[in-house]
Amino acid sequence: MSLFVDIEKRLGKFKLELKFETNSGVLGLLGASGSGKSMTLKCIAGIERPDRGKVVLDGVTLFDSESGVNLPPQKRRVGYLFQNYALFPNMTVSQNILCGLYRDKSKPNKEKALNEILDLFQLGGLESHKPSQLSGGQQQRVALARILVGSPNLLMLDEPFSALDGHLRGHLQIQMRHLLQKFGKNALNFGRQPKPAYA
Amino acid sequence: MHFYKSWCEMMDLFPLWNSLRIAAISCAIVFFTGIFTAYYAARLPRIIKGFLDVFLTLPLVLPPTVCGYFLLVLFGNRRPLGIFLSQFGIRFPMTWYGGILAASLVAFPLMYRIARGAFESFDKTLDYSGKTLGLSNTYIFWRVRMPACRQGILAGAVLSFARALGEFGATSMLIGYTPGRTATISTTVYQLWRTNSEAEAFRWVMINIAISAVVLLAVNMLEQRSKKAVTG
Repeated sequence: MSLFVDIEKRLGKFKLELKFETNSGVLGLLGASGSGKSMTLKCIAGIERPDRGKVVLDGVTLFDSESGVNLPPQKRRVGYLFQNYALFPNMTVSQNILCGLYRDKSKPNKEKALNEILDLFQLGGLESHKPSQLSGGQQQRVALARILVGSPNLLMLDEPFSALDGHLRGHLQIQMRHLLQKFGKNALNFGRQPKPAYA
Repeated sequence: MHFYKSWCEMMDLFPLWNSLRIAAISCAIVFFTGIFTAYYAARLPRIIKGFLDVFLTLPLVLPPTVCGYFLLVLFGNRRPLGIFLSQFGIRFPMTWYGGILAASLVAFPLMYRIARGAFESFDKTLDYSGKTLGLSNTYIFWRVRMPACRQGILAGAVLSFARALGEFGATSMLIGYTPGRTATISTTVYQLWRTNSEAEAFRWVMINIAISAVVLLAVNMLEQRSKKAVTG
């Protein structure tokens, strides 16, 4: 994976200026709350538009203010795990995960991928549960499964453990490391913790 | 059966039918226009949104007769727009479907405000995560946003229906009162009272109260269900 980011964005009185380049699999970005971590992620995902700059992922230009390139988030294939997981409350676990396969139009493929990921993330038996019926850890696994099933080119985790309490956090950090290793994914981990899981 | 028959003989039920069709069609129109205006207005720059908001909410606070005045100025039979539309056989003044125009105008701000409130409390990260997953904006709107805002939007639709059903001022300005053609429940009550038919006016009053009570009951049930949905 290679990711090049050089962006500027004005947010009221605060001006976010950030430039980094990485070729390694995993990158952690640390900073106090309000320092622009989430904004940076949103700019990479295409949810927010930087005022100026460039974002290139694996040789594909996602955003370039000079040449006017600004791919919509749907076309960036960037996975984004939100702090609150952002599961669709009206859909079951299966329906949520199938949303990650929206681009795939073949039904048998979808079924197969869904069953595989349910197994891998130990979500068997929870298929028809609604997100509100799940524990915090289960919700996180569903959210991660929903993202990874669509095989994004980049996975971004926005403070993935901040919504969880201490001992559960430690447990899930280990679990997530295993899951990500199985998937061989590149990840950007943004957190406030002094000891990040993968930095 | 005997009771029903005697009622029909006693009174012409046209105003009930006319009021219900005007309210139902207006409610449907306002449902879609209100929701889409609320959805797109939220994306506008703040200053434009502020002006638009005032303009779109005005019919809620203006006396309905003032709305009727503007409708007559626009669509009157001797006004440019009225003359233009009459070439296609469309005449809003003194027709039953003119009542749809009047009721929609007055009910629109209710639907718009309530839909906007529902959209403002909608969790934006659901929208964002849908986009990064590759879902189309249309899919996100109908399958994620609308279900999440379901209770508020349904309550808005029911209130719009009630408002359209009770419309009097703009309706009487634009379509007047012609028995069997443009009469609605509200204009009928007014007409009957004016012509000293108090007993008949009273019957229509009771019908109106009954319908409104059912509508409000529906709103209450929706609100209770949304409370349940929140608390799990």
